[in-house]
Amino acid sequence: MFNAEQLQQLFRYGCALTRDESQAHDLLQDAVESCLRQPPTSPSALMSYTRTIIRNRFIDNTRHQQRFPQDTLDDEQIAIDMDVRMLEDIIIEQAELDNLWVLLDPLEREILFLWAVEEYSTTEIASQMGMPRGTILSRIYRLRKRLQEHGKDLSTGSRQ
Amino acid sequence: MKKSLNQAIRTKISQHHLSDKQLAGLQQRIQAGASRRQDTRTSRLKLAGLLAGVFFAALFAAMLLPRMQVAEKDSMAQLIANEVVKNHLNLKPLEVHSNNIDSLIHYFRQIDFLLRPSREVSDFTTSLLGGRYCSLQGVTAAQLRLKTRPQNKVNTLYQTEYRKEVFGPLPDIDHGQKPLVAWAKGIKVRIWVEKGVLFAVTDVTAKAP
Repeated sequence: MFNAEQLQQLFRYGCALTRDESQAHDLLQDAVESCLRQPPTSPSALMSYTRTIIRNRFIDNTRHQQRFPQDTLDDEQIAIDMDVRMLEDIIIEQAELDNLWVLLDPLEREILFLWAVEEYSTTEIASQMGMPRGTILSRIYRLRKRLQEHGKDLSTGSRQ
Repeated sequence: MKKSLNQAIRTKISQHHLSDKQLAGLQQRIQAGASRRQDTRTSRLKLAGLLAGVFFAALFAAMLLPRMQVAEKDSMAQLIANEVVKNHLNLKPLEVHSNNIDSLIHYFRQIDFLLRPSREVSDFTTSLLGGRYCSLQGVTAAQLRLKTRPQNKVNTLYQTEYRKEVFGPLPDIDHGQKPLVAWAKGIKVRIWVEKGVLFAVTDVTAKAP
């Protein structure tokens, strides 16, 4: 059902959500049990299906409003070229990211994981997270602002 | 050394990995689950062979499909009832207290469907106490609490998006079908689909048959 690399990948997704390896392991165990009981109808959807289970369990275990604050940017407010690509030109020190990582909320870390590790587009991120695209765009916009404001050492190149 | 943001994130994420022991534990669990599924499949095949010996092939083919669907429906109904009753008995604190459906709709913005009353639940809008986020078979759900009248007891109502690939076939009352009834820990649970939303509600006042 899952090979070792897929399990590691799902574990890292859990770590991105929780920032805690032990909690991520628990979530993964729960998700694997769920998949064994109720496998996805399409084998190709296994990873996405399992990520959704991990996410739902995490939300379930968490005070929802505290950890998943909602803020949606209306489509009219969105700049034409605003999507995950606006994060691509950010240059950062590894240590800087490590410091910043603990300040991000789970939703922001999940967006960054899906963008950087899974290489998802904004639309794919919205679909995986089951959220309106406007919410994702709003968070990306604020993330970029925070990353830019975070340190003097943070520099950005020009967009292509 | 500076690097692009996505490279830095990949480096950070790749620092996390399951230990050999954790990985072996998970793989063992998956292996065991796969063997059990194989055993179940084998048992079903044996049963099918036995039936084929007894009944004419045509009659068998006509009867097997509905039987399997009923079994699938019943087992999923039982899983749903078990989960609903377990959480009903836990009575975790409500995240939002309101008897106003519009307030609850506003609160449950995370879910991908519109919270709605059902014609299967009498006095829905006047008996609401509030709700909290939950999940049903891994799908994000709204867990609402209702007060019964005149007994003044509390029932739990789940609403979630009906995903056939997760929940399998369930009765749709818009198509004239009746809700399924399942029992768990002495509590009756009714389950149905209405306007694309899955409903599951306890009935604490019902007496076991």
